[in-house]
Amino acid sequence: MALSDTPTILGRFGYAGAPTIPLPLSDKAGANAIVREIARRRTRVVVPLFLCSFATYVATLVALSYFPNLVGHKIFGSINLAYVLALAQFAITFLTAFIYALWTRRAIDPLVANAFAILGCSPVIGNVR
Amino acid sequence: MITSAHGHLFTSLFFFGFIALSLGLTYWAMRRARDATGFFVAGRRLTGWQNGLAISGDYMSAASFLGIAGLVSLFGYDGLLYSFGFIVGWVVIVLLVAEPLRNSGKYTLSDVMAFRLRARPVRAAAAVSSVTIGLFYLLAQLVGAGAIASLLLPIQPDTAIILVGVLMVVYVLFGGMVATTYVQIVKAVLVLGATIFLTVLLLSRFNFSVDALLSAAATASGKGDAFLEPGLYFTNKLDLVSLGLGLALGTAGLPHIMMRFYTVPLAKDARTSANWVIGVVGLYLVMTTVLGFGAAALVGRDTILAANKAGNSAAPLLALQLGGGPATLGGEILVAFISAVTFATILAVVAGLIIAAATNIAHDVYTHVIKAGVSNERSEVKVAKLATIAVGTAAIALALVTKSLNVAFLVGLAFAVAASANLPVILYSLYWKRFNTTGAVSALIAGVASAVGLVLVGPAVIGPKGLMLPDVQPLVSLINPGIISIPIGFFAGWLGTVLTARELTSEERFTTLQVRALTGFGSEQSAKPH
Repeated sequence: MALSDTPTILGRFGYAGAPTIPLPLSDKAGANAIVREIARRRTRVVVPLFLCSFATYVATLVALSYFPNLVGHKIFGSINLAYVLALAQFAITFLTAFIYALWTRRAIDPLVANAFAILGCSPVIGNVR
Repeated sequence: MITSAHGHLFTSLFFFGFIALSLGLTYWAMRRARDATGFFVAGRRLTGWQNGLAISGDYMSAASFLGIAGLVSLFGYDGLLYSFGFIVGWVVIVLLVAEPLRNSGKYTLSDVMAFRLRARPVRAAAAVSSVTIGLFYLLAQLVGAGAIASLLLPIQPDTAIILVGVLMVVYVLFGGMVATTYVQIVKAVLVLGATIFLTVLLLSRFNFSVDALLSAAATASGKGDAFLEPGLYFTNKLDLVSLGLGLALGTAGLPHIMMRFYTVPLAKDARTSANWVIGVVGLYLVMTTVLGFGAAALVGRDTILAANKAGNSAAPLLALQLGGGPATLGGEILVAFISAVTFATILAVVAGLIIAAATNIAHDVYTHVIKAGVSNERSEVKVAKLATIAVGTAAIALALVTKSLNVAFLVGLAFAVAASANLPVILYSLYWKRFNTTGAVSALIAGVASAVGLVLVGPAVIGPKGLMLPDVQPLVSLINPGIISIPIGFFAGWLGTVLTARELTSEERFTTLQVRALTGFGSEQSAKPH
């Protein structure tokens, strides 16, 4: 039985095309395999995402400090590259958070729900919101 | 700045309005904050957006509202580093820390470390770094309160500092995290609203052309294009990079911000909170990039410097100008409103800082170090309340003697300590299996010592521009220690670990921690609704 057939709490986390991996139900080893899968997916996506945005930031800092002529270049009227780079940091941060939120909802949340389903409990105990 | 009687009347009206509202919230929160979960983490019952707004309230401090505007108005572009540096830190939080932290901890940052490491040494060292960070940050806010109050009301800065100090102790003492949270939410909405209003008014003066605004600022500054380029404030090039790294990496190590992630029921909600912060604070910080230039263009350097040497009064002075100028009704109402909002900001942030420090002292030092984990919730809350009074008193006393520092600089220092001491230990605890107790204690001690030490021997403290010994050359030329102290913190954590024996419990518990951090299995449950 595929994990996506698991009843109970999928509705809270899942989405229609939630990825499924073939694992035995009611099995602690199965839950552990899911945890390993979560860790693997996070390493594959979160680490590059972090390195990309952080590298852009450090590059911006270096450009601001050591390439004054470059960042002083005017792009539109008195708006120079330095000001655009500052605004770009907001855009990059926003975009990174947005990509991460979309990706987690698709690739991680269903797995977490599955792990809980296998272990036979709900992550929302005590929460009657 | 305000001298007329009706000017004082407006300021008092706005100011007392907010105090009455916040005390009302505190009264309402009292019975919801009696038990430990209620007092420390608001019962873990907040929704993602509520907590997101409360964190935004915590994060939009006097340092950004007064400090950034002040630095930009005096030094131009360099001040903007604080604007975008403050937002980049949220990438680290969203991607690496927020969700695992909510899943694995209870009340403080140290819970994650102590989950797998030996609790007593780690918690003791982490409490030292967290309380140090809290104190620097508190000083910044209280100094800001003094600067604002003396401009607006016929009271001394000292009176203002004491007044703010006493009020915040009252919020925390009686309303705990519940009152602190709702005060933060109200304040976040006020600050965002006020900033949007000021920005729209400012841009309307320039036909909504940022280009025209920047040109006017460059001309008025007397420095021309150089005012719009980096280099006027950070005369040492490395200082800009150093501060930038500290701001981006420090946010995830700030105890008063990170403990707010415990106030939501699930890791998902922690993620939602962080996304709200990025939206709200991002919008706010983008606007701070024009307000400082606006103050440079419309108020002028001389007036700003005359009001406060560090530039902390630039934003209220801009409001005075935008409302119609000095001695006009519009100007006085607007400056009174902006100043009351700034006061609200300071009160709320200070309350957040105080509760974070009190939690560190009660939960980490008292329960886990002194009582070795054997304590009940009732005495933990009692100790937290005593700690609230103690930390509040200490902060007031320190603020009274450090009034002349720029608030953005003080906050930058708090970020540097957070990035050098707390961040390495949190990341290693969550992601490095081999990490052990010696490594954690080494990173914490080396991080705090190097960050604070470098500032003490740097140009901010000794030398011609520093606080003392004007004839001595500073030992390092960096004002901001981050670029040296952050690698030292990470390196000390690694070295301390690999030089000492493997810690089997730590490696075993790491597997459990990983399951818990990634899925939330076995994490702290939320209490019944408020």
